[in-house]
Amino acid sequence: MSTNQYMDLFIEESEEHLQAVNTNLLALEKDPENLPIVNEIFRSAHTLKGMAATMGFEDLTKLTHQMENVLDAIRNEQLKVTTDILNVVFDAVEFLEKMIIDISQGGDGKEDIIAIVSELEKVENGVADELAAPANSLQEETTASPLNKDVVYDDYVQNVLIQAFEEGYFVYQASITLREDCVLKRARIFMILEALEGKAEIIHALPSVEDLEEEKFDFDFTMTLTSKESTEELEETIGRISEVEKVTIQSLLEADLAPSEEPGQPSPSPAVDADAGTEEKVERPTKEESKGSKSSNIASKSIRVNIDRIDQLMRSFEELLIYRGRLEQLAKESDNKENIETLEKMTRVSNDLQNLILSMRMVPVERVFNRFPRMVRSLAQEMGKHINLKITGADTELDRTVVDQIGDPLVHLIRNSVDHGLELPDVRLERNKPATGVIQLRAYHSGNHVMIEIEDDGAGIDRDKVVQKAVSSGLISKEEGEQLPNSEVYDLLFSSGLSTADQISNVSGRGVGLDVVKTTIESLGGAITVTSTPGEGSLFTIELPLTLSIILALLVKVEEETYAISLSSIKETTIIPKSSIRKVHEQKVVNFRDSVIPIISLRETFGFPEEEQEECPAVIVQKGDKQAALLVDSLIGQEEIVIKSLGEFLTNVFAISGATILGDGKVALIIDSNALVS
Amino acid sequence: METQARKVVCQIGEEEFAFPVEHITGIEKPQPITKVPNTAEHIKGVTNIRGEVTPLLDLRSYLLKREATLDEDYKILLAQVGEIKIGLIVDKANEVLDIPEDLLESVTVEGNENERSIQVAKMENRLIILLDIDYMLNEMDAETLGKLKTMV
Repeated sequence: MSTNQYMDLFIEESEEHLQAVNTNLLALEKDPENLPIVNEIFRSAHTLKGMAATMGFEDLTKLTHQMENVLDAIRNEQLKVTTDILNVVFDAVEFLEKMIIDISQGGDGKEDIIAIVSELEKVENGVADELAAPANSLQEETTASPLNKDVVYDDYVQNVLIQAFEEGYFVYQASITLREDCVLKRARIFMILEALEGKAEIIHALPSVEDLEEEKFDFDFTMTLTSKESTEELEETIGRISEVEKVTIQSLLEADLAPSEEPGQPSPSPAVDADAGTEEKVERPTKEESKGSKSSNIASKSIRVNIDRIDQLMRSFEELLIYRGRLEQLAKESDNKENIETLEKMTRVSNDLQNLILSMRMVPVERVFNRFPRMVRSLAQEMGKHINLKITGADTELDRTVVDQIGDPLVHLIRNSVDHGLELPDVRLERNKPATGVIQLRAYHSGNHVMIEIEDDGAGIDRDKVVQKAVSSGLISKEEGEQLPNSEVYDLLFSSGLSTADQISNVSGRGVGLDVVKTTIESLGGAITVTSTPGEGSLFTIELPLTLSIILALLVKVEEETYAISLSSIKETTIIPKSSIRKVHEQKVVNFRDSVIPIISLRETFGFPEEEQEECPAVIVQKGDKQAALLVDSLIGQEEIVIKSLGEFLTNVFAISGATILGDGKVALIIDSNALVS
Repeated sequence: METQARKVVCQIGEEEFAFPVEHITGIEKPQPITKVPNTAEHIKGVTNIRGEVTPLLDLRSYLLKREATLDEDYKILLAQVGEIKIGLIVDKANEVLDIPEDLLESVTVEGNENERSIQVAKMENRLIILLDIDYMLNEMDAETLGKLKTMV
């Protein structure tokens, strides 16, 4: 039986479960007494183990199994949560991640896990011996009430059962466990259902029969049956089916149906079962699973869609937009009222459609943020620093493409903060700061943009050091260095070949620098700035556009070509009379709204011959607090355009950030005003 | 059994060139072209081909250093190699040819970076130069081609 078709699902879900384990482990570290968290972790680990076993990844199964044992010990309070234990568990999780990555890349997920498994065993055994006694008593306790207390009957089921009693049927609770290597769980479920047909009626199942048929369970489940057969007969019927590991059937009495408020109270005389003692071990996962499936039922309003399909939908929609543009042009030319009206309606619908598709592509930044807590934790340990990472706004949504690409820049910035920003605990104490440094990672909406901020309360940026470094690497002259305002000095950090780390450490100051961060963010249409107060910390602010592929743009004409300028970078349009243009240091400038701004002639920039005009239409663009006036031949109007790249062959064309296809099918280039302003 | 290589043959001036058929995705008529400023002279610009912005490389000036305006009649060979999609401007493209392998001959030329053997096909009264698009985009230029021609 090929399991390939389940592979994608497996990888996806494994990643989710590992992430859940990660998040919860971190939460547990902060709050070691919080046993419900351990339960959560256990549940994720358990599901992971089940899935890995189904897919036949032995090492993965073995490691999760051992990890589960440790978690179980913690959960049963045989083990106290300590940093040492958590470190081992974190290591194990890291191994698991490696395996999953290997599997997703087509590998077999094999890793040398002997060492880590024995570590886990040590952790587990370190306590198991001394705590053997309480463990036993715990088991006894559960033996007394072998019925699955998680099975709760609603009124309807209760009535059916009571009626069954009245009609002389026996009511049984059957706990069935499939073998962990069972591949076709669904088939086994059908066989069980078929075997029971005619002998018993299934009144209730946990997870529900639908979930069972869809394999939404681990390996064990509980069914409530009414039947005239004996326990043994039913056990044998089900037990005959292959790959059924264990069947335990107990009869229920009418009294059991009454909802009991005290779960610890033993149910009155259940049919004693030889297996009841071992019941406890298999029962537990059932409970966990049942909770899991309940919560997933609530969330089942969403479906999984392959991201490729959404991308494809987006592309088709983009094409539709281009034709809409064409239609608009034709309608204007024909001046037919009905045409124009119909088109307006179409525009409205397609705007709605666009919002819908864009919202589908939105994912919470959590996807990137959630890997940082662990990263900071291990960095802090490595460097002997105490760090508290505070994340806010992780649910802020961004276009998927952006989210996929901001990961590396953020990693770099956070490493930067940990390495260069925050001081060692004793230094901090000397400077009258709390020993634990705080790094804040914030995401929030601001107009058509999403802001991501990384703030630390560390030493701040040493202006002199930056200047010194910039002078020695020839970026600026010594005199310039003395005169530059702080903000421009900080901007120097983003130029290539500048790292202020005195020593190249493992953490940062190696290979890529902040210049790469800046380039990545600008390629996403965003911007990054930094401010800092010496001694108090620094703040990096990243501004990102909500979406990448469709923007509002102003179309302008230069010579015979049409160009597009993103509306988000335009401040206003104006007409500049030739007489008001002056020259300062070979640079044409104009006095505009009480400030002097440089003039950039697009004819000149794009290599067209200059033309004498008395008055020149101009587009005032801004980047940060800098402005520039772009001279054009004429303004055409604003339009929604679909951004297309120039392709792999034409990369890094100066002042051009991409292209778009206009309504008439011609290509128009998109002007990168950021490059022109700076 | 005689093996054959299937090639798309195009004509630039008097020369004939052939590309592997699997790299050529289509042949297009002249199109409205948008110039891209500040790029090399042989990049004629970009155009819209089936909804995609496609850069156009003029092989007439790239390979033969021939001044060519876009008023002349020309054809666009659409090529795709890996991630790179490009339109190649040629004079004529009208033939898909199965070239028997025993007509192929290897000629070693010194490229800009390193030596490279280029295959030519000698058929009755034609000489066809077989080009590898990837290599052509990265290293081949008019100079290399000149060297090749003198050797053949």
